Amino acid sequence: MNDEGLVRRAAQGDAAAFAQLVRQHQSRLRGFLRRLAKGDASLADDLAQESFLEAWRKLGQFRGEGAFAGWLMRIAWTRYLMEARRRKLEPLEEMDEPRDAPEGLNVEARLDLESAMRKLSPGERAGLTLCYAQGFSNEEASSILDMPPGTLKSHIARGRAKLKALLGDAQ
Amino acid sequence: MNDERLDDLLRTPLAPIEDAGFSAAVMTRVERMRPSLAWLEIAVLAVSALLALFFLPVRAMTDVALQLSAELANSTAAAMACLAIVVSVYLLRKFETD
Repeated sequence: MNDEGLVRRAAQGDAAAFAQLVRQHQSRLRGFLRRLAKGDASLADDLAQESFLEAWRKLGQFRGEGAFAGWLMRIAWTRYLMEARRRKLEPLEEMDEPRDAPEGLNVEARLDLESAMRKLSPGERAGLTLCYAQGFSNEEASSILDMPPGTLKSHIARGRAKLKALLGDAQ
Repeated sequence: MNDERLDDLLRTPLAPIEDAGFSAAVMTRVERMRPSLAWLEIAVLAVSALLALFFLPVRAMTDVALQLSAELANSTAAAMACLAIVVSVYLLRKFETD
C-alpha cells in the first residue's frame, strides 16, 4: 500500500498502518536528523522518535498537500531547531558510530564530507541534504524548512562555497 | 574540489540506517499514548456532560419533550409516518437479503 492509503488508515487510528509508515520512513528521517545533529546518532534518534510521535498525534491535520515524507521532515526540522535552541547550539563533536558508505562511494570522501558538513549552519546542512542527498525539489525543501525559496537558495550557495573551500583543503 | 565533484558527493544518498528496533520502540510509545488519549476523551465528555447538566434548563426541556411526545402519540400523521418508515426498512432488508 502507498503512503496515501497508509496515512488515511493511520489517521483513523490504525496503528498497524502507522507502523508501516514508520518502517518505510525511519531510515530517511534518521539520516536527515543525523546530518543535522552533526553525526550525534543518539540525539538524532531521540528527535526522530519524537517526530514520529508528533506525526501520529497530528495525522488528522495532514491535508495530503505534498508528500508525507516532506511533512515528516518538516516536523523533524522544527524539533531539531527547538532542541538546538534549548542546547544553545552546542557543538556536537565526533560521530557516535562509523557509517557504511553506499556502494561506489569513496569512504574517505564521505567522511570528509560529513566532517565538512558539521562546519555549516543548520540551514545550510538541511538545505543541501534535502535538495541533493534526499532528492526534494527546491519548492519542497523551502516548504519543509519554512523559508522562502530565495533564502533556501542563499543557504545552498553559501553551503556549497564553504564545502568547496573545506573539501578543497582536504584534497 | 570542482563543482562536478562536489555535486556527485552531495547527491550521494545518505547511508541507509538499519531499523534495529527503532520502529518497535516508536510503536510502543504510540500504543502507550492511545489509552491516555481515550481517558482524555472520556474526561472531556464527563466534564462536558456535568457542565451541560448544570447550565442547561433541564426542567423546561423535559416539559417541552413531554408535551411534544403527548402530541405525537395522538397524531395520526405521526403514526402514518412511523408505519411508512417501518415498512420501508422491512422492504429494504428483504430486498438486500434476496
